[in-house]
Amino acid sequence: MIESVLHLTHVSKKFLSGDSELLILEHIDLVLEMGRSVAITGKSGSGKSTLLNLVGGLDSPTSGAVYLRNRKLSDMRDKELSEFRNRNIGFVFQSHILLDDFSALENVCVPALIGGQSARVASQRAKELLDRVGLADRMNHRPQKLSGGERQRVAICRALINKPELIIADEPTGSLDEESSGEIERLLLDLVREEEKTLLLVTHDQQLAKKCDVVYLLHNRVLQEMA
Amino acid sequence: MFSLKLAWRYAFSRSNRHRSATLIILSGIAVGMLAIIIMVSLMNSLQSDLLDQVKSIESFHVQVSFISEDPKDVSMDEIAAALQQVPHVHSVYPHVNTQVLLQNPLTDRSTTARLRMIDSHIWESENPFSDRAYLLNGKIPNPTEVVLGSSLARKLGVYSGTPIAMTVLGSGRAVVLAPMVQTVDSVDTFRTGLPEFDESTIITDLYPLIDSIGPKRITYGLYLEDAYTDKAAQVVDTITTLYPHATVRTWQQVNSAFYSALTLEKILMYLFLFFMFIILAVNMKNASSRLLFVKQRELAILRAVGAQQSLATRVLLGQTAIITVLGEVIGITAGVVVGQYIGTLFSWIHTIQYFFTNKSNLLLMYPFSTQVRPLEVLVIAVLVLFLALLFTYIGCRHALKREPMEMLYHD
Repeated sequence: MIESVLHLTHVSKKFLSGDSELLILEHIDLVLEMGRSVAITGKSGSGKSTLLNLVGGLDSPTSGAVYLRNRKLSDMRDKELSEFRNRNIGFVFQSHILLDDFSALENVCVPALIGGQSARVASQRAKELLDRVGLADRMNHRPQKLSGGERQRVAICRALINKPELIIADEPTGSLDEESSGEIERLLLDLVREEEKTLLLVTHDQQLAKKCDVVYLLHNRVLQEMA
Repeated sequence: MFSLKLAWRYAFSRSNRHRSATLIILSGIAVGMLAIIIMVSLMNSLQSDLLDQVKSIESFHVQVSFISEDPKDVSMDEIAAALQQVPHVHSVYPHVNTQVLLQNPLTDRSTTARLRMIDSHIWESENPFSDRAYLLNGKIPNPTEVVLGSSLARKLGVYSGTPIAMTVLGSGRAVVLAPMVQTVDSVDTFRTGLPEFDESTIITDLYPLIDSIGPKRITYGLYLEDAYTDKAAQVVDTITTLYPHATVRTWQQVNSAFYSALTLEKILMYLFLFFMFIILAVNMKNASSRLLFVKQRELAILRAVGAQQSLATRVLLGQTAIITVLGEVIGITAGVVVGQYIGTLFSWIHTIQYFFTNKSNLLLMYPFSTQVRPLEVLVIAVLVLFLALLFTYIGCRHALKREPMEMLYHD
């Protein structure tokens, strides 16, 4: 029997827009099995990123519940949720968000240092990861000195440093050119497989979605599994 | 350690908008501290100088008088000798202050003044009076001569050697007090730095007039050792034990109205300081909001990768502490340096003003100095740091209530 890493039950999310409420997600149910890669596709503004943020504990649902490793995220206090997020979830954002004042190596180390690892151990692991993504000679550069593709590679390394069970990637190739996109796709999928991680990916790119084990379409606030 | 490292990086971020925010805030704190330090130390110095002049020139540190009962069985010299033996007493000067009418027979100008009859040795011996008062021509008056305050001499049109008609009220035969007119020579004029004293006082030797004035009116002026000038209670107790019927008053009691006015002025200064703090606090609140605003993206990233709210708060508090302490160190250092050369600075300003207006400015000519009190500086610095940390903490709590992604979208 395959163990589930994540499941969502009847998750809805509303936002306030002026005086009116905007329903983005409605009664979403989703089960994510360990070691699988899942892609969520949909039109812009369909709520894909919102769904991802709810899964990652970066936002809270209006109703319903998100369970990660059978732990209900909304029941966790800030300390517990932060620790949980630090150990179990790795984020790759659309716009390769990095800390501007830190080098590539330091950016990769940050989650490990927050998690309490020693600087030496964190640095060792970060160097290995950066070496694997081909940034061994760029690790002391700050984000401003790196190309878009290179920054996204750093972001992938940062997501993997604490060896989390779940990697959440929000349009990881959205802001890259075609050549860099292909490279990042390959890297992300290869690393996730090598490290035996579960991947939840949001993308517009049908080619990338097809490379995942399961593909869902988010349409009219409802999630549908695609054949 | 990690949060401190992050705080240091954030405080001096290489990202331009962050660094400029830091520099603006740091400069604001430094200038604010500089202004407060200069103002407080200038006021301290002015007040301290004024009080020193009052107790050194005007009223001595302690005054002993025998108004209620004559010490009939002891002479003035014996009382002075006994007071000199009291612990912590530096020197004793028997003297009489009385009102006189002065007239310059050459110009017919006349004015009332205060005559201080005191041993002429006060000009020569080492004491707080001779430290501050000086005779313009260095001529110490003989027992039959007088010296006038420089402003008083100017008012009467008196120069060195001018005879003055002096009317004194003395003990009379038929009446209690009778006017006595004497002609005395004015041999010199003096300056003390206390304008009121120079404007109203004429000084002569005590001994020639003591018989006509009467020993009952003698007051013994005591100068105390430096450490006891403001803490004279022990000396007062000893004298009261020695002479139970004597009236013993400290310089604060003698000048109670003036002292109260200065105390009130000090309270007003602290009130003014409080308003300066309010202005500084408003600026610091805005500065904290600005720091938080430019760091929202970083906070969101840190939260996304697992930083707890407490870590984010510690980072921002650390950043505020670094910027504030550095600003304070710069401000205090600048305050001390500027304070050291405040006289020169005012002199330059005066020169420039004179160059353009061809008019002297008496205020800028005053020999200003500053007196920095470390405890006061420490209290101000701690208060400023406390305010900065408080506003950052309040801002942090407010900012961190939002979900990390909301903060990222805001950016």
